[in-house]
Amino acid sequence: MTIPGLLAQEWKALRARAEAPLSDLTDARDWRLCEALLTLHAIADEACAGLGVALHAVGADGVRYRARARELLARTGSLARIPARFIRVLPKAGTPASGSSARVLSRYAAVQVPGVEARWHKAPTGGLTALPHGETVNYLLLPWPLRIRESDFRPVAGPLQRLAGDPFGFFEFTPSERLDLDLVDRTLAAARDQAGAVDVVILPESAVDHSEIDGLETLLAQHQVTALITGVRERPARPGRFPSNWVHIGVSVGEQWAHIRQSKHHRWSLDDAQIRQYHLAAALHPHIRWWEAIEVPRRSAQFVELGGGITLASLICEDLAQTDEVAGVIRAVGPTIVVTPLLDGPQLSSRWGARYAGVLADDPGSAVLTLTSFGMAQRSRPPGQAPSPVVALWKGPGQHMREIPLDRGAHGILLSATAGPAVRRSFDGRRPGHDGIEFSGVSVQQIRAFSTGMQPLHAPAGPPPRPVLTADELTILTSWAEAMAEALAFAPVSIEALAADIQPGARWRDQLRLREPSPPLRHAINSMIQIARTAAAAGGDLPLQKALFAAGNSQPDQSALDGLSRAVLRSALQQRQTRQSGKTKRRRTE
Amino acid sequence: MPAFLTPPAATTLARVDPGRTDALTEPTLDSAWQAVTRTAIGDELLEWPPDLLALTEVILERSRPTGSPCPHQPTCAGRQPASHNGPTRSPTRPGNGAPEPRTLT
Repeated sequence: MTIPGLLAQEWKALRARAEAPLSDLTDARDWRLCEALLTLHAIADEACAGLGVALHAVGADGVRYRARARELLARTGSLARIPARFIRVLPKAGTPASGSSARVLSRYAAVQVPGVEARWHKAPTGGLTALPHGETVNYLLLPWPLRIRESDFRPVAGPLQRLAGDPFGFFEFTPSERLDLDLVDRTLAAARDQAGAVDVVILPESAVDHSEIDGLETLLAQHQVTALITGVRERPARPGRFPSNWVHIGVSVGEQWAHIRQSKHHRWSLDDAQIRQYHLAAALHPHIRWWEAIEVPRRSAQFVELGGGITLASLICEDLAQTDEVAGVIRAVGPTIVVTPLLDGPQLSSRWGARYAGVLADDPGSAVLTLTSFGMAQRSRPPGQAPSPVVALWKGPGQHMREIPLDRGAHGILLSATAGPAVRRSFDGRRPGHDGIEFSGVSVQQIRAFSTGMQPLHAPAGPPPRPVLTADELTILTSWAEAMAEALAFAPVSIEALAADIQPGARWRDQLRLREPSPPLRHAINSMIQIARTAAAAGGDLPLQKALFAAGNSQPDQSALDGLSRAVLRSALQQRQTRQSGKTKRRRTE
Repeated sequence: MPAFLTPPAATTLARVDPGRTDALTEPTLDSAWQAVTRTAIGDELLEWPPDLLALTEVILERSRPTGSPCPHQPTCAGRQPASHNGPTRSPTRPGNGAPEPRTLT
């Protein structure tokens, strides 16, 4: 390995001082050490560019390095080779415009000490993947249930606990009405008629029962929706356990949906004032503190790259307000958007949710979208105040807080958010980079459901196809597809080296202590290589376009796995092509 | 040379030797790294940029005095306070100050 001169020189300076006391740095007594440390930090950070979202291209070796690092990230939840139980390195999706903590010294990767599990997912989304700068993402917000009854809240059977004269019990939220798929269908039809396409559908906390997800996704696929983000309630699997409360992130890939689960980590506590505010006193005695009866699993943070450079995270209701380890990881990574489904009152800019949304929009600069149900917003009637129809709140970086109401007679809200280039900063003297993405503005339209939808009324929704790859395997497949797209665009000769890297038995996996790809993943990778290899071997100037054409031709009788493989490659190729054409356009206008 | 690497003019003159006894009991770069990863600082960290980033960030974090890491950066003014503190409707919903029960599930 040839080590660049500056790196070798600074490393030598640091190694020579390995036994120096840290106070030499703290008190700036050894300036040479300060210089070496900051230089090495900046070099390492720059070398982490593109390990998450890669907007800029690199050469043949860079493509292979990125792909290996992404497989490592998918398998272990960290970019570092050091075990994630000791330390975790994650890609940075965005950086704040200002800040005063040590983490603002880096702009491409974030270092976290253990305490929270973090997972990084890549979802090769159809509509969003080809998102060029300056285009919009259409979110359909369904603030449902539209009506919530007092009886939807009930105490969980069991003795009340008395703690130093402060009694408390547990409650659950179980709405009596099931999700109205027919209304979803008709609302989607109206939204698509208005906007052309709906990219993401979002529902509030606990809006959907676990058993309803498959039917909902089948319906969304018919409407060519790319992603679903919904709060889910799930009955306990065995007696003696509490229900689960989580956010389901479903991403449509090819013919299947990839599923990602972000659990809620903090229980809602209903006190006297809130029981009266939501008019629940007949269901829950106001002199008792009621805790939400949910299982609280080990803390984890899920990050989802949705294509187009957009990285998403989700926090459920109370979790938005907590300054715990999950909040620390979210702040370090700086996702493009944090979606927060809630079971809460109106999303007014004067309430608690807005305060915490404002904090995340300032640092790390994430857009925050909160969404509660219209039913819950209507139940919230503090003394002397009328119910408010404000069901959602948008706060983008550097933007004003935007309250979003559901108008009378409307069933949903179409929120169109414009994604544009953003600056990446590191506060160590490096020049700002222009390879970030942020949401720069939103527009809102009320959606009134059509009288008919796409589905025949009461048509039984068949179960969606079973996933042929796990979420981690899909991330790995997407990572290699991105590498192939980049190689086809800039270094077609490196396709063979990439193909060798992907194969089982490649030495680098041993060195990184990674397990071999499973047979289905291996099959999917091989079918992708075949297309890329043929396109590269054909010669000529346009291997990327040739591969795109080949990946777009579905084969008769192709297996679900082959279909998925082609869809993933197609998505990566389209994304690369969009970036290339965007760059060419910018060059022409400069 | 980037601006941040310019040494303060008085660095050399202001240097104070804490003395041998203090130095022996203080955490060092290597011991700080070992405390986190249970391995010593070695050349293999150069092979993989995220590993090198982890090392440098651990040392930076552990050696950082309280306050801004970039006192000379004019843009490093600190995060603006959240701007909405107007009249509230149940502003303190999360937890309301009550400790969450832990052992009852």
